[in-house]
Amino acid sequence: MSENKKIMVQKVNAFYGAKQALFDVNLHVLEKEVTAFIGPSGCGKSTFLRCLNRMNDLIETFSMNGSITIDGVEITAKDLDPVELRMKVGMVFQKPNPFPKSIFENVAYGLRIHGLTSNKKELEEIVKDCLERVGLLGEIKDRLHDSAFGLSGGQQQRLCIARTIAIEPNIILMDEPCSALDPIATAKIENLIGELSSKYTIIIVTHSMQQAARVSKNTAFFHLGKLVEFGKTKDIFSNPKDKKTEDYITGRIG
Amino acid sequence: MYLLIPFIIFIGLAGLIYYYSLRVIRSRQTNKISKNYSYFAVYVSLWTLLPSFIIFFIGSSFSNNLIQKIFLGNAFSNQSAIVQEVAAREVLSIAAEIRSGAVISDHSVGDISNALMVELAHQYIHYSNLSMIGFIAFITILTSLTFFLIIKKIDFSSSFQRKIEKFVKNILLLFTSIAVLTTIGIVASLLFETLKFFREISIIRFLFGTTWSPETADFDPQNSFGIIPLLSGTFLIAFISVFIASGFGVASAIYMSEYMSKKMRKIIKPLIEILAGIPSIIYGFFAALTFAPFLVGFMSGIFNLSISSESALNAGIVMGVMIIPLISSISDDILSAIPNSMREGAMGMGSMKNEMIRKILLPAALPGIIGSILLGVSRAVGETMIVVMAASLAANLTLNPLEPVTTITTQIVMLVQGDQEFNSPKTLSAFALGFVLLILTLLLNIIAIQIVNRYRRKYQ
Repeated sequence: MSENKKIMVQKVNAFYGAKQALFDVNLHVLEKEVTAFIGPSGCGKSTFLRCLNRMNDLIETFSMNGSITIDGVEITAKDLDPVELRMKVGMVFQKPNPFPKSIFENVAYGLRIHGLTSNKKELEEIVKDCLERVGLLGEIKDRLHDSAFGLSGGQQQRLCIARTIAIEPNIILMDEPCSALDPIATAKIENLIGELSSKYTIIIVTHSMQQAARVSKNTAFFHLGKLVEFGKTKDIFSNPKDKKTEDYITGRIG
Repeated sequence: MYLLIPFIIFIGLAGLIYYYSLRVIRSRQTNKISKNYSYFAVYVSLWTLLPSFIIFFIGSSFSNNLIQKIFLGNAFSNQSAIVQEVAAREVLSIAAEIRSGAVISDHSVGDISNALMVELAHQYIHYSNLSMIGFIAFITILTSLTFFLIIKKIDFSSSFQRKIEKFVKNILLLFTSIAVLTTIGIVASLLFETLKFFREISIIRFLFGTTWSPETADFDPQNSFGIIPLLSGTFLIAFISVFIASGFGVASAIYMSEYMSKKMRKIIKPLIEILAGIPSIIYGFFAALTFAPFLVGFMSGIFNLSISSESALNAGIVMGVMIIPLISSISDDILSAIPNSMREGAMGMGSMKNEMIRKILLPAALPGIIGSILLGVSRAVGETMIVVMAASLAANLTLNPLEPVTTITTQIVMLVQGDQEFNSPKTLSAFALGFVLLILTLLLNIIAIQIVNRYRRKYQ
């Protein structure tokens, strides 16, 4: 396993207006591993995740400082185009949010807007391949051109993952991807995360500690905007160094 | 003043009944919660006063008519019918002047002197006051009787809350049905008069005739009422206006909902909505007096085109400006209603903002936007004031926007303006036009709903 540091984060502070949401966060994310961010609601883990693909730019009052590099490139720089960044850093959201289009068009969307293929046959192949990889193709192969809203919640979320991997990002950010799903759909997504981790660097924000323990190799625990503890998942869960981490994973806070 | 007295008496009676009902139930009931007492009192008051109220209003208007007929009919029985009618009307207006305390102007009619008229008016007031007093006395007695009857018969053990709920529900139902019935009545009368028109003029010639000239109706009625030039004019102007309004409206909606900061939006959106509140007559004279000369100068100066000052283009552009707020406001609401997760999803895939808007937001909002545009069409087709002032009266059959055209609404205004005979084809044709207008807007609305629903089924 390579110990390649894909993302380096140094001294990141983030603000919503005058309210500080993140305090001096330092961590690194290893390539092609799953890293989980855990912590109680409002602890800043989602805010931090959204710094990594500059999604916070869409919020008028947001501001941040510090340094985040991906493959050595500073991504907080003003002149960096967030559009290009987001091609490399895909994102899956808390609630499945398929586009109001057919299943096929949902996956084809990214390929089309980025002009990744102009060949109709190739497009179709990539779309089917992505659907296959998320285990959706078998379930919906006769309904490719039906509305994506007709799928179940779990299927919609897998569709969102399929459309994310269609544009071949390096990193996939997942913001509580299973919080709106039932246990069976959750299990499917978790398996999928395991499979995808051989190819992509994955960061997953989750409320469920069991989930973090099941899917991730590294875990970062956030509390009140601060990174409290960061390390190998098995260490954090079996032998937390910080009292707060211990309290959280044993259910005393949060 | 005249109607105020009975009104006050009714309120007084209601208060008394309420008060006595409370006393009655307090003296009879011991085990009920006190909230029920007031409901009981309201219930009794409502049922006591309702019959009296209805009898009073039907009766008093009826008796007034009766007094007018008998009293005034006798006073002028030696005059001709037309003078009788005019004199009776004059006496009533003197009575109104006396009641309101105004200075009595000269109301002599033919050889009937003003003094006699005033004398008659005083007598009329006397009689009508007498009848009013009689009525009030009658109503008071009736109310008391109903009250005692109700108090005697009423079942004290039942729940009055529920009965009042039912009563209120029925009153609301009554008002609703009055509104619905009025609409049906309007449509029915329109239909009735339209049928009258078609008894005289062939419906085929009306719907497919290419000449509209009501002024020649006396010589050649069959060929004077062809609606085609009006339809083409109406739709030409509506098309121009909706073309302009949907472009500007949708663009401003996109800007407002997607690009503007929240603070700015709070200021700008109401400003645009104010445009919708400007009375259309102001747009009308803006079109006729300001914009028309400008357009004529502009067209001849820049393109060397000759354009009529009453052109379809002129009315259409100004009407378009009027419809912009309608379309932009609805489209903005629809765009804003699209959940943010959709935007984030698209942006998270590395879309540019304009790609996100074009490929995700607009398709999602399309049904609503089309709906708003069709509402705009319906508004443009029915719009009257701007076209009365800015469009022409000449019913030219043309699709050239530089030429003067006229619209259905303009022609209706012309037909019912001033004195008119009620049964001439000319007047009746206004009803036929109105009916066509109604059908058109109805069809537009049905189509709009169909389109909206089809898209809904596809994406939800």
